[in-house]
Amino acid sequence: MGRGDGSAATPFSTWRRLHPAAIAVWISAIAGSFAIPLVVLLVLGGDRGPLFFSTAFGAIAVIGSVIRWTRYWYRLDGQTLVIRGGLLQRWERTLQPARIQSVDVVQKLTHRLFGVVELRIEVVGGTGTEGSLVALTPTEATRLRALLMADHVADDDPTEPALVRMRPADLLLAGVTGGRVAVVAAMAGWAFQVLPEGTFVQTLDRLAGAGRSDFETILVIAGVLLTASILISLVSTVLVYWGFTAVRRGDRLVITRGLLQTRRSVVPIARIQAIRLEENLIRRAFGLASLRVLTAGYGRGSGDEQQSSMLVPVADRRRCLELAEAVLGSAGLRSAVILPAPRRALVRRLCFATILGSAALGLGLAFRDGAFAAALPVLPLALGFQFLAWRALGHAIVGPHVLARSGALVRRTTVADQANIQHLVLRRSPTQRPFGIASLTLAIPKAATSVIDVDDEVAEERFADLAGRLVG
Amino acid sequence: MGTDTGQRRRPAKSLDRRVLRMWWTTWGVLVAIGAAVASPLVGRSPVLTTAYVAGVIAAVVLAAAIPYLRYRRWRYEIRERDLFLSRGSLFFVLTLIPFDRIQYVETHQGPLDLAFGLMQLVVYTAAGRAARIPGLGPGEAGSLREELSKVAGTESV
Repeated sequence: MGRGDGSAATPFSTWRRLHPAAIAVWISAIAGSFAIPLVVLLVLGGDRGPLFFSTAFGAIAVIGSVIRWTRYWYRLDGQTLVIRGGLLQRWERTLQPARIQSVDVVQKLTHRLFGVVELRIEVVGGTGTEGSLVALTPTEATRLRALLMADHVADDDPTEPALVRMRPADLLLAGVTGGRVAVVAAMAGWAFQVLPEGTFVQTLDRLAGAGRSDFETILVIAGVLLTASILISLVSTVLVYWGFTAVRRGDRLVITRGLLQTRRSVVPIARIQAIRLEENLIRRAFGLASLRVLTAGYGRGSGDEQQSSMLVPVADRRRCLELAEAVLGSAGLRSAVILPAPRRALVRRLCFATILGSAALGLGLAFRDGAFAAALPVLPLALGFQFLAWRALGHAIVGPHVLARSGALVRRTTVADQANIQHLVLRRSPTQRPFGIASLTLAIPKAATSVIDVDDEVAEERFADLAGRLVG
Repeated sequence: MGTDTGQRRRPAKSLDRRVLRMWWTTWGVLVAIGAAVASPLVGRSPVLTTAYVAGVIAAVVLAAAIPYLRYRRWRYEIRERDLFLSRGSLFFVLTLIPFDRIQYVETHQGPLDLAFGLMQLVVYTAAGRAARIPGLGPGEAGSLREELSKVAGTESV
């Protein structure tokens, strides 16, 4: 096994080590993972114990990372990337070019400090990032990426116009309309757990103080949450999507983004499994949407799938559809006639909502007065939610593509080439059958799409039609 | 044969009848455990005793009926270019897996399968597990595995 730098003609054909900065990158990753428990231990843990523990932990992290670096090798065997590592349990991973879905260049703060980048290779069927070369010089990364993607396209053409370019004003729009209420709720929950007992309640009391009525208190709390939500959404959007550009170069999409962590993703267009248009309630009111490309590469475990797949963080809905047409090579998306779910499906959903709301009222009556008041909004909320969910449902066949739409609060319209469907499932639940409706699942790698609550006969027709195309 | 997918034309083959005994046994054991756990309710009040008896009767009926319905509806067929399945006691499900989308096929035998002399066949496509056919005799499972492995496609996605 050769372990030098190899010849100039084939620099990656012999076994190579990562840049030594990989040690620092791994240490910083370990420190990041254990930051909160370590800080808690140092603050609350007494005099000497925590210091000893932290020093021992740091030493283990440093020694472990150094050993990992000495055992971590990679090389290119033709166009196949081979990575090996491990001390007690040796492993070797082979990433064949046919399986590669995308190659990303990532630069976090630690990378910037050492002037290196990380190359992430996403492959089909991976549960996470299967090929991660955490520290390479930018030149090495560029050359390696070009070699790995050699069968896809020629060199970059810097004169190519961008498909999407996000200006600061666009980022503000994306942030304000992003609707990260869930993030705020999660942070509030975390604060409730972490803050000393009573602090959370006292803060709420202060907000409710100054002789305000209950209604005013609710308004104040809602205002605080809304402001926090918008601020968090703005900051996270700017951090993640700063300098966002998407360029089509030959048969690839090249997406660049990020402020603190810059990322350059290269996605072969042929590997795109589906495209998804997303419209939350706020964006829908203003005719805005975001657009994602779904590939089989980004694993759920990688934690990157949401941002990495973004093609348009926010834009006019029509512009998003234009881009979807351009990427998929389909001309009819904007004029597609979507077949809505039948009214029977609405009746079924309203029945569910009524049962749920009545059960909540019944429980409220069975307990105490306050519980009944709290249960009162359940019925109208459930009815409204089910109505919105029903109204979002629909599907269409647009040339070789199938389009499916669903989602009460965030409406998702997925467009996939029928050729990407792996298998088909037609399902009729006990509550669907009396209403003559069914659901059809199109199994697409990492982009499973369901056509929900379709008329029974239409579902059968679609099933037979798609099956005919799949096996024909 | 061929690509006829209308659900009115049901797949030809049913599962090995031993699977029905296996499912009845499993349900029977679960009902017995449930009945034993809830037995302290008996004698506390007439209402609770009646509810207990009614619950046990309902559970026994379900334990008898659901495996039977499931067995009746479970059908599979290897056709000209696809594997076609029909299943479900409460949720009726049709699955179609084209041969050229099959990534790999494997057979499983859990402790219960072993006790009843049965095997399961699992079929994967690039989108994940596409089907699990329970209650096959070892010979049938092996021949299905070989047959599907032969016709399985090798196209990359």
